[in-house]
Amino acid sequence: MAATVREEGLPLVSNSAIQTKTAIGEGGDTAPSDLDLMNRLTNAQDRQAFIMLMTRYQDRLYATAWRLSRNHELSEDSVQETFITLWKKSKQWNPDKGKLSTWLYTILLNEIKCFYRSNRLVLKNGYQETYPDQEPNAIQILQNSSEERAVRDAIVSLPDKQKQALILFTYEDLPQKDIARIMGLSSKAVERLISRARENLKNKLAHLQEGRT
Amino acid sequence: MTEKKLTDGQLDKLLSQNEAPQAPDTLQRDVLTRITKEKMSRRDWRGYFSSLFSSRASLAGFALSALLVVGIFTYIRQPISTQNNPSTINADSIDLALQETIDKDIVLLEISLAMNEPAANKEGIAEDQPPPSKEAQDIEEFLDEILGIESREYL
Repeated sequence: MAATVREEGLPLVSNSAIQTKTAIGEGGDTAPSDLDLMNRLTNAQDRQAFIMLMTRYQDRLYATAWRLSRNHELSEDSVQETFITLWKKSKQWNPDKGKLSTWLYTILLNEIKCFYRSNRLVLKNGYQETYPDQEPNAIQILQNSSEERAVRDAIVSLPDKQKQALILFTYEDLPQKDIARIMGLSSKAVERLISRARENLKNKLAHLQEGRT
Repeated sequence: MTEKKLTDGQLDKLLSQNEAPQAPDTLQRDVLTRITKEKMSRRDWRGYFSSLFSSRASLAGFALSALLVVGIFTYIRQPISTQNNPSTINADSIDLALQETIDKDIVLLEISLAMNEPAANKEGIAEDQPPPSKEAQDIEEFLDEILGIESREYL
């Protein structure tokens, strides 16, 4: 899917930015591969390798968590927990079974699930869309566009599984096979979830197109 | 009324506008702080001692600290065990107390006996002592016959 990049939205994570980071991280010549860094982390608890992995994945993970929850605190906490798990249980990652990013997304989704489970009562009263404090410009940009807000509302209102599959597929450019592994489903089930999510969104966002025409 | 739906292209365009904020700059620092704290709290005694004994100075410091702790403990424990807390009285102190009591009893008994003892006859037998029984007399006679007077006196 083609991604558009806002000139004024520099602090935001765009799809092309994600792709650039992925290219450097997973196949670039200049940076060590995930496997190298994980070996250093597992064998010697190499803090530098850990920092490099965090730098490589923090924006992607945070963006996914935020798109799923639209809540800064939840996103930050869940990404922190994901990295803590990476630090503590790096030996559990098996490169033969999947990429590091797949493993990290799996941990992240579990953390978000745990958060929702433990904060069910709080969230029952409704969530509030929150942003990192350091980005007032980003908040303004996001709040000023009613169209973007409508898209975010429509995505958040999707059933959990449809939402997860759509976000991982659309914004993280993960193949359906990896999404299936992350969500513990078959590839076919993921395909159906994405298709259903898109159909729902087409209905929910139809009014935006009517407004334009 | 026909329901209007977006096309795939229109939906993709809308979805591409859904940008998310970047992770906060403090995230990495917070994670590193947390793992450092957890590492510190999980430090076991072996690790503590290995770091403690890593230099001679710290070893000497530890030895002095240990001696100080033992000294303070001994100083504090002593009066409590013997004076204030009866449950901690040790066996030696019990023996001592018993011995003192027994000695006092013996002295008292001796005084009492001295005051109440009747005058003894020449053979050292009290006058009001009951006469020996028939069986005792028979035994005495038997012994006289067998052993003789001298031997009996010796016995």
